[in-house]
Amino acid sequence: MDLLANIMLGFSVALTPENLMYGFFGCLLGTAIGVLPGIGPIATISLLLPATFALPPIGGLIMLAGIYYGSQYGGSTTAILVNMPGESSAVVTCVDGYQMARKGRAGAALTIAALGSFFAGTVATLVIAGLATPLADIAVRFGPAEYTSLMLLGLLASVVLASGSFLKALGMIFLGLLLGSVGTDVNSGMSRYTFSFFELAEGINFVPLAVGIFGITEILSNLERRHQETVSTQKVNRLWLSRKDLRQAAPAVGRGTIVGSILGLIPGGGILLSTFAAYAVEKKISAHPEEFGHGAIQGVAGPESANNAASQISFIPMLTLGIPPTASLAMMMWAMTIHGIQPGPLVMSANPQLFWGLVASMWVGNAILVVLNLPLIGLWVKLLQVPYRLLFPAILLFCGIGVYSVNNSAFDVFIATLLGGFGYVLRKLGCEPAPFILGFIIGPMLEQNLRRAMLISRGDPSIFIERPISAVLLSITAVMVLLLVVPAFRRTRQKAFQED
Amino acid sequence: MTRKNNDLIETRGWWSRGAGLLSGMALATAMAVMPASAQDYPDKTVTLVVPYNPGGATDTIGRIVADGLAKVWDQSVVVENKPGAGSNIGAAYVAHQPADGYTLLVATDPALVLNQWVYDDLPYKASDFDPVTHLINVHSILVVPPSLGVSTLEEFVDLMKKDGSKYNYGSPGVGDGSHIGMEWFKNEAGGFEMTHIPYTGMGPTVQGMLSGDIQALIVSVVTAQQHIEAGKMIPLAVSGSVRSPMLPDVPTFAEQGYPTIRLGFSAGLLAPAGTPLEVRTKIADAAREALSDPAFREKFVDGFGYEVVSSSPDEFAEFLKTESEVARKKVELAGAKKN
Repeated sequence: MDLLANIMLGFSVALTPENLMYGFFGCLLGTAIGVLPGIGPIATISLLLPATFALPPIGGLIMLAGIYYGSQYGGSTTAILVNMPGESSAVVTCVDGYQMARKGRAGAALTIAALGSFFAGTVATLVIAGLATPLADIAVRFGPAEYTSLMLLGLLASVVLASGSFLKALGMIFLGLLLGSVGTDVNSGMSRYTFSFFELAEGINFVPLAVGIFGITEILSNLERRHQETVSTQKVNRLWLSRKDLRQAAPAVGRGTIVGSILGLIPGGGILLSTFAAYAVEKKISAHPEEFGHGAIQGVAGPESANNAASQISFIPMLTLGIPPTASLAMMMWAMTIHGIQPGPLVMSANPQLFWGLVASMWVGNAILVVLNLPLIGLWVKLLQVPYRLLFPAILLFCGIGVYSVNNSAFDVFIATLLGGFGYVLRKLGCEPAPFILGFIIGPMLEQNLRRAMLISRGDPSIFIERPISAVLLSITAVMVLLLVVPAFRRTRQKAFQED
Repeated sequence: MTRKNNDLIETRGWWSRGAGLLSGMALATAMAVMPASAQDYPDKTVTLVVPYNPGGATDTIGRIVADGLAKVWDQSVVVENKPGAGSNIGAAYVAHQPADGYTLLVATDPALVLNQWVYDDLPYKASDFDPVTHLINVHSILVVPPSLGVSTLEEFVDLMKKDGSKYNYGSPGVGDGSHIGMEWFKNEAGGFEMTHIPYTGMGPTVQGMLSGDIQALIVSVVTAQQHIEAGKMIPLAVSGSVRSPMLPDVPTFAEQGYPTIRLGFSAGLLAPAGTPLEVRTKIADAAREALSDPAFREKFVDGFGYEVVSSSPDEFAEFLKTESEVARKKVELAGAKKN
């Protein structure tokens, strides 16, 4: 059997003691740096990337895979422990993960994130090994019209992330859309809302925005109530999962894996969409949707599994078409080029040893990560017991370093500080950051693809219904809008969205 | 820990830089009045500023050159990424560094010639830099999808002159070399209609061609090669004076009657204005030595199709003078002016 032979070939490459060691060091370094609050996967990978250039190709790639997974998991760790997403795909994890941590269940959240990711990574590796070529043909059908419809659907679905008022969530999405329009207009090259700052020419960066709105805002709020209890003084319960946790989380991991495996195929935005699609699914089918936003374990298990499945699956469009889906994977792709794998349609046949070695090493990277991190969870959780007056200056310092290091730019540090204050005001007004940040990320993608689609159709909007995939996505969107305006649904929705 | 990435693989990075920083601060004031001595150069860490993110053509070139210079000089050379605003952030940073040869800009077309015509209000002027060396040229290729039914440049131009308004070409963004190059070619070919679809980055643009949304694209040879071999893209012409070693069957633009078309991009080193010629010549000589290394040639000249130029500061200045005038015309033609 071809599939089995290919996987065997891959593992014969990935499992030599030397390569295992590279994988281990990659994971260790990736986690160690990625776990610093404010230093997300992008900064971690760009920091460690040049270190792999000196290694032999396959060893370098395996170390990179380790760094990639380590930094991703490190990003989730900071999302859960200090409410700071390292990459856009960890935003959803903040919502319930951090609430779990505040209730003393950080250990459980970190454990399910690691185990869920491992399961999802295993499934996704098998999918890649078996179906990479046919799936790549599907990925390529996503043109501007399809993206526009998908982003519209995503925008609507992001309302689900709010656990408070519907109107405020809507307002936050629009605020995010507005902020996302800062930068250079794609079609004309004109500057929008940059106030003559060259630093804003490419828009506001995600990292300073996330660190400001999530991280710095969180610190400000914590300091405000420092005489009351804060995260760090919470008693930490057992680290391992209870039977009830497992019963709730296991199906969520499965569903998240399926959602991630499907959406991960869509280059550009698929990974991010998969995390909150998984969240929306969990919230919709849960018998207790009111628990979401207050530390529901499914709210961590689903999105984290979806994230990892999608990141893995997105290697398909990356490897077979040369289209990197995220900034961190773009750096991975470039590293492959340097190591002699030029991603493209021929990479599988031209370089089977490297290709399958890489696929196998992704799985090995996942496995090493679990082995490495399960014992470390106790240590991470202990960090929360450090008195907050000692902890917060350290967090703030790393935030500063992390924000600066993405572009080596002090301007970004100012932006983060400014947005931290802004986020504090929003919190005082009872507005939630997750819909805001999704509006910010989805807005530019929606605008660019809409305008691109209109250029291609010469201004004829029927392009959105003539293309089958786009038409289906739009129909789903229309049904969701209808459900929103139907009063009967409105009552259930209020039951589902309002705080108890 | 800032992202001076090379520290991780530099053997002598950490300590010497700590000391270098102190002496650097003391020296910086002295440098203003006293020209750097070319004999002693370099006696501390040299920084190459790459105005783009890690991972990408300019960053790779910067890192290769940094490693090469470090070997030639036995002195540490680090790469610092200062991305943003189409090279402008990094260029403005280098323009305001001391003119001692210890901070250099790894500049590609945008910083070398284009931006002065693209942007109304730049945070630096072309005269803020002194040329050091023209390192290499990276070549591009004009490709079309098989569904277009053309296989030569001539057929393509004929079809576009007849029916061009039906078709689109893509680019990674307004003002990118790929966009400006296509408008330049449209003009050189006697003018035809074809709608420009700007994407964000080359990845989505390539996807646009594979999904059939665009019917022509100017893209680097490295990126296109596999799609060409897989039959998903038809190559029409490569830039450069000779054919690409990676695609020896594809004729150049010049062979097909367009000798003026120069696509792809050049990469060179720029120093802050006032850097002594002896220092710049010393850097240019070291870069030439680094780029003639057999390992480099095997991987990047034979493998990626990079064309090594390695010019002297004076030759580079001459090149920039001509190219700058060509760039002004190209930017005007493409309507790529930003403000």
